[in-house]
Amino acid sequence: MAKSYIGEFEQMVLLALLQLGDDAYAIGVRKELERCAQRTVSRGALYRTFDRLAEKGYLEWDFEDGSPVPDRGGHPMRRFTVTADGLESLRASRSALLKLWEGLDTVLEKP
Amino acid sequence: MSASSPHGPQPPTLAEWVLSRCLPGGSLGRSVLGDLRQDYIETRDRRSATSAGLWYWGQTLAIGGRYIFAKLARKPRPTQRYRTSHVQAHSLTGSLLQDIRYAARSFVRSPGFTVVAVLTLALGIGANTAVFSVLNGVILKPLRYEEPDRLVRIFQVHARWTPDGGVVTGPAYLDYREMVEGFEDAAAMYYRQPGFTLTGRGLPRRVVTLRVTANYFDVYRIQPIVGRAFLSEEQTASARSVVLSYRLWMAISDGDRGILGEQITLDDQPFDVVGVMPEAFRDVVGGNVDLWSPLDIESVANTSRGDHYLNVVARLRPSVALAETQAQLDVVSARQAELYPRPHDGWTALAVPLHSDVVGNVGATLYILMGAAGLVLLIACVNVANLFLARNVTRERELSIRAALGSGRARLVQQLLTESVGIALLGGITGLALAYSGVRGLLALIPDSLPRAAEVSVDATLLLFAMGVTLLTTVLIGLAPAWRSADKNSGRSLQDVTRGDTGGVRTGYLRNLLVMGQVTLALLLLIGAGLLMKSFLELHRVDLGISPRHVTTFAIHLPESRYGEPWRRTEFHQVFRDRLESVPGVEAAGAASWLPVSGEYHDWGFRYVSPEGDVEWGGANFRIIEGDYFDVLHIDRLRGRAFSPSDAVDAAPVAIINEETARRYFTEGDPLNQEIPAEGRLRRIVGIVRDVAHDHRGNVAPKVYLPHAQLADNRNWVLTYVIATATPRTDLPEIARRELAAVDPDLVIHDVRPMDEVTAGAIARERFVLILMVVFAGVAAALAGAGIYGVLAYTVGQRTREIGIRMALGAQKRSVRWAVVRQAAGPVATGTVVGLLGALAASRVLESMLFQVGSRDLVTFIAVPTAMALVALIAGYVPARRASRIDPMEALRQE
Repeated sequence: MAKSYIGEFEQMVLLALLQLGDDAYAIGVRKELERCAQRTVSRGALYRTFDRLAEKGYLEWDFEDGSPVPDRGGHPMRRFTVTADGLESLRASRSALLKLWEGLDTVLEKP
Repeated sequence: MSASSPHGPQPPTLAEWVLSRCLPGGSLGRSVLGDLRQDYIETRDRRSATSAGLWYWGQTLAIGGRYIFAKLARKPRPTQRYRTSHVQAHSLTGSLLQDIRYAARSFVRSPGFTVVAVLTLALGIGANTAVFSVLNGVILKPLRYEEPDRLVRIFQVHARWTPDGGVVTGPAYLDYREMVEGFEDAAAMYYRQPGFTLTGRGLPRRVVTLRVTANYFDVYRIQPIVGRAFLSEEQTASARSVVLSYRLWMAISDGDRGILGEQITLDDQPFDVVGVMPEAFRDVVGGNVDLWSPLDIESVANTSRGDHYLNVVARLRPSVALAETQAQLDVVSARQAELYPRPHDGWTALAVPLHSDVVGNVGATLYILMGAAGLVLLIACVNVANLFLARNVTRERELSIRAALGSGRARLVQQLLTESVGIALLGGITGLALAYSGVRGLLALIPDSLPRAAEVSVDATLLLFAMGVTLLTTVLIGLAPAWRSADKNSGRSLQDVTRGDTGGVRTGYLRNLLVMGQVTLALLLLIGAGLLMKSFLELHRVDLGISPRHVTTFAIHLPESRYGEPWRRTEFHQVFRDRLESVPGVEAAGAASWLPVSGEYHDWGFRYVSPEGDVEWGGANFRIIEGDYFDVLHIDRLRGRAFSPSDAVDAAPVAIINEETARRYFTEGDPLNQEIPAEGRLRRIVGIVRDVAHDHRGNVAPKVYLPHAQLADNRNWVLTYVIATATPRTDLPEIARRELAAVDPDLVIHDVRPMDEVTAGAIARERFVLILMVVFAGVAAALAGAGIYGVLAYTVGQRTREIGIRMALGAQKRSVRWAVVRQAAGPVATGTVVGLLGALAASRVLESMLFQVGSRDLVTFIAVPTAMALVALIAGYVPARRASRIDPMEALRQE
């Protein structure tokens, strides 16, 4: 499972989920992404990415009672967890990238 | 679009419902709805309810769209599909989903059809939505005041002088306010906005001022957001209080509340700022003003009963009818006439609902445009219905198979309707996008004279309107073809439909009817546009009596504090004009109290001796002029001389008249060197000049010109400068500002406009209507042409085999071509006749907008159908040519 391809945006979503820890809700993920990546994130794209990552087995979610948050109109909240496969895939991608980065510091250093 | 509930603000209900249909069911879908609701409230707090509503709709489309496409993209499992859709009993939603998928795939399969249909509808829906935005902003939306229905405008009416109602005298206003019981309150404002020069806060600037009674803001029921309104004791000549508009507040103090109690300098006098009005407040009667100051109520009470100078707006008591108030006004008018017979003789009072007064005659124009846009949409619908009809015939085989496999009629209608809903929806969305940019274009075109233009915007109402139109469209384009296809009994054999044919007599009949309808509708629009175009050309040909080329205009106001004595004003104008004339490139400079083509003004008239020897009052407009006014505008001098510097204050009083004055009041004898009484003195006529129009239709009135130097003591005239240059000069206002600063750095020039803009502004409304009508008519003609082409091209395609056989049997190319063209000739000819009859009946609604063109103008009624026939011929000829080029062998091989 961990062998399937993982795209840049998917990686960013997983990393944002890990950064948020216990607060990994959809709204928080979008804000975290916008804060770190300095770009607007379309909600439609984000929700579809959640679905895709779940299909790949990289993340799971539980539903929590949303009624304590008054603005949600009683709708449930979705809290995400990155699965072991998800972590494995991130590790693989990280080590591949690190290898590729090796020795390029002089080229890519800011002038 | 969004409503408040006990749980606080909520996103648009409809959008939320649509989104919930698109999302997966259960907690997953609901969690997304919850997220979006949270974001909605955040957006709403940050922006406004309307823009949050629009935002939510956008998200609905974006997120919902993604989920729908994800569903469609999943590979269908054929066995299951056929089972659910054709044989088994099934739930409506299940089959609907099936239909949506099916429709989406069929759109992708025939992209040409989809694009043409969607764009056609988008044009129709876009045009309607854009025009509706103007109609809505100007007419349909209630005025933005509390209980606007209770606001009325009061006029004084005189059968001879102001038959449509004019401004009110001071004493009459006070009578109404005291004696009409139906009024809760009545406010008065000065009839025009004289303006002040604001200095001491950045560069000097001109501010538009409206003098009002203290109850003015109460009558509109709008209170300042900062500070207070005027107190009744402030209604004196010495009062120095002002209320600022939001715009001016922002401009001079950047919204600082500390401005309250501060002083600002207007015309060199200190004024106290006592309040600031909310941003949304617009006075529909008083106009776009920068600040308000109190009227002197004592002078209101003491002015003459013949001096009309107040606009009056009253608020009726709750549940008091307009008629009741009018009756009370009539009683007051009768009483006034009793007490003061001379000034009140023939005068009555009239109460008009404020809304209809503001909208005035614009309503008719906008409804005509809306009607035209509606016709465009109808033609678009007919075109798309035609496309569907043609397409369904080619799909008859498929439909027959499905019917044979047990699909019920309702099921087939549902399938076809889903497709039309899909097309209409796509058309609606594209149309809305078109309208969005269209409204921006319209706003740029809208003439300043259109009331409430500022209230035209893209908003939620517009979205609802577009949705409504789309729904209507769906029914129009979908129902007929769906019914038609389903109506056929499924006994029509599969064999029949496997062979190419034209889809039977009835379908052909329906198609011809549609072509006919299109030609009729297009002709109606084309004739309307033709009449307006001809009228517009006539307007352009009107001789205004001036040459506005390379002339720049601007106004200057001299504050009383420094220019209180008449000689200072005379001197200023002489010095400033000399400086302007010495600027390289300036040919001549002059000024006048009122520009040509800007309406009648200062219609004081004078007493003259009629041929019967009676002394009578003759109407005439007075113009106070300065410098080489006639030379700048090329107003020809027919006889005598122009004013010269020697016509100074202490010289003999002189006047120049126009031809119309000479013609009307000096029927016997030479007017030159005769004397006319004007503004308290006898003035000798020293020259006669050509007539100058006071409106865009070329109407002229008697006019008397007087030199400013001799009238400077009459009042502090606001003169509008006219400067002629050899070549177009955009830098002239800048140069004029520099020269002005050298004379007096605390003065400003304002209302800078090229003279040709002044004359063009007078026909701006006509131009606006014309442009829209021409665009609509063009689109209509193109759509009708496309419709005819589509039908013929389609039938040629269907009849390829038949034509091939005919040609194999020796038919001539020409006769084949003719046979195809002839097919369209019937419906086009019928459509033309019906369209002409319709236009004869309908063109009368345009009458009020036409100038020197009859609503049954023969040229238009001949030229337009000819052009339409030409379009039809071209549209028909292309497929006909293709038919005549069919290779018989090729066609037969298709078998």
